Amino acid sequence: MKHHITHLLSFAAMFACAYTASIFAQEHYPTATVTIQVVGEDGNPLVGFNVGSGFEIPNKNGVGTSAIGAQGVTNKEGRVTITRPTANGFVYYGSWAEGYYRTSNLTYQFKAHKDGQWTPSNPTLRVVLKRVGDPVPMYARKVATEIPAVDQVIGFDLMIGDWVIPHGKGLRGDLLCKVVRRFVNWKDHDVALEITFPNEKDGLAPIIEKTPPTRGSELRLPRTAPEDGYRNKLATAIRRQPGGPSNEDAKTEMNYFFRVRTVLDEKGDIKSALYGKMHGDIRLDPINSKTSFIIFDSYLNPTPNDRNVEWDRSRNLATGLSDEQRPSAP
Amino acid sequence: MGETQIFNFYSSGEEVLDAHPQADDPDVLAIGNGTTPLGNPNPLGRYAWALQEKLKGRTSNDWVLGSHSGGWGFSSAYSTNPNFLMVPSPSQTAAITDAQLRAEPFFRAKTFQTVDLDPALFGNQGTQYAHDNRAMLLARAFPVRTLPIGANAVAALGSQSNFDMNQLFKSGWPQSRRVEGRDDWFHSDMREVAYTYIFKMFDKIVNLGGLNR
Repeated sequence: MKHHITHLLSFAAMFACAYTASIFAQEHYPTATVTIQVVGEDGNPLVGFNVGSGFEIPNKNGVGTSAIGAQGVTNKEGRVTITRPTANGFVYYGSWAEGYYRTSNLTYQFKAHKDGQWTPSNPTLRVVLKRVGDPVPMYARKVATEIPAVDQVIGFDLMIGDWVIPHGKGLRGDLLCKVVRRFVNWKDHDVALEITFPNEKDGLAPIIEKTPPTRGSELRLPRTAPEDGYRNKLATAIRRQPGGPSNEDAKTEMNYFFRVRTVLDEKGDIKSALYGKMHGDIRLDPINSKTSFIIFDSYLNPTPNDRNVEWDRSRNLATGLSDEQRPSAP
Repeated sequence: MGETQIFNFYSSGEEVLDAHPQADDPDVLAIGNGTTPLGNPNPLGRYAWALQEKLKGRTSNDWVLGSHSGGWGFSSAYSTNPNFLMVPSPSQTAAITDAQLRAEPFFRAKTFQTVDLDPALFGNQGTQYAHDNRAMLLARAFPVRTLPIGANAVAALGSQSNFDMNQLFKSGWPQSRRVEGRDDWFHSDMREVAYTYIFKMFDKIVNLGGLNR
């Protein structure tokens, strides 16, 4: 056994020398070839559109990476083929054009290389560009606010962005929040929030978007809120037991459309309602509070019955926001 | 810590601290096949932190990544191939008795028998040696099993004390970094990128610390 391990050692030492030497000779990386295809939301190719890509190499100081950048313009099939060297097989790509939302930070990781080429050779990487439609002014804000009290139902006004009087300046309780808290310390707690709504047919409609917020199209969700699928109650919690990991119900891929201030006619049909969306899930932070912080990104369209939730970033109806309260995604 | 408050400024766009997406259990032979970290012509840069941890105990030296002691290196006593070092399957390892493990730990403090950086660990003064070299042993011989703070939120701090710089503090991004289709906040970008683009991060630090009073 020792004999064989010695062989292995020799092999490993030889290899280590080889790869260490390569650290100081950065010019010989395997090349990667990719075809980036840009399509619209209908799947049709977009011709003459800008494409950018980045192929990673290590920084010369040995920490972090730099990119060998490459740009191109799509052909009649919406394609650009790019070949560049890359040390780790990691490729960034994206596309942009006037009249469309930028799509960026998409990534592809080659897993192997052979004879100086990353494989599989020339995969097609698809970029979907979303057209700027009919964006509207909205009350858009990133909310991170302390729930005023536990064990009480307290309304939050999505238009004013505050708890209702007397806890804040809000006038209408669009979200009715009740937090129940058991908190010993940051290692031992169980805090639950229940959100209900004051009006029949108000509610939240969940929508999953698995692409992380910093990847893909700037326009994260569909432009139009759905007509139905709204749930009148949402329960979420965060908990931890001593010795165990923290566990929260909030999910990074979760988003919501919402309908509030719903007025029904005599038949029970919707006569009037306001629609909006939330980017990301509704999160709790009981650690930095004696109740809990509630955290969510809210976009409210103030025009009754207008389900358009594509926000015009140049027209935010919410005023007096700090940088941290101002959303950037449309 | 008294009144000290802890905040985590991390970046979900980190490349050095990025999660390594490939198999968690590359065997030692896979070092040379081009699909694993050391098969990479230059493993520094992206995944550097994860590779450092995954390769503890699995390299023949302590030069660049990994280490040759402790970590994920396993004892040759449990190799399933009498002629070569081959990791046993989960069912085979489950059959190892406690008595065997007491006599020969599965994860050795050394993987390659001919070189051992810490022989004192197994002598009469082993406990004292471990105590005296705690930090060094943690760094070299104990791989972490969770992802690093610098690229991830820390639940124990609460959401209000975790700040994803990649999402929260970019104010535009240098054109030279955007043309390649990306605008991630990379490792050390608080130093590498001009203040114009990252001033929000400094503002946050100033406000949190009350440094403007």
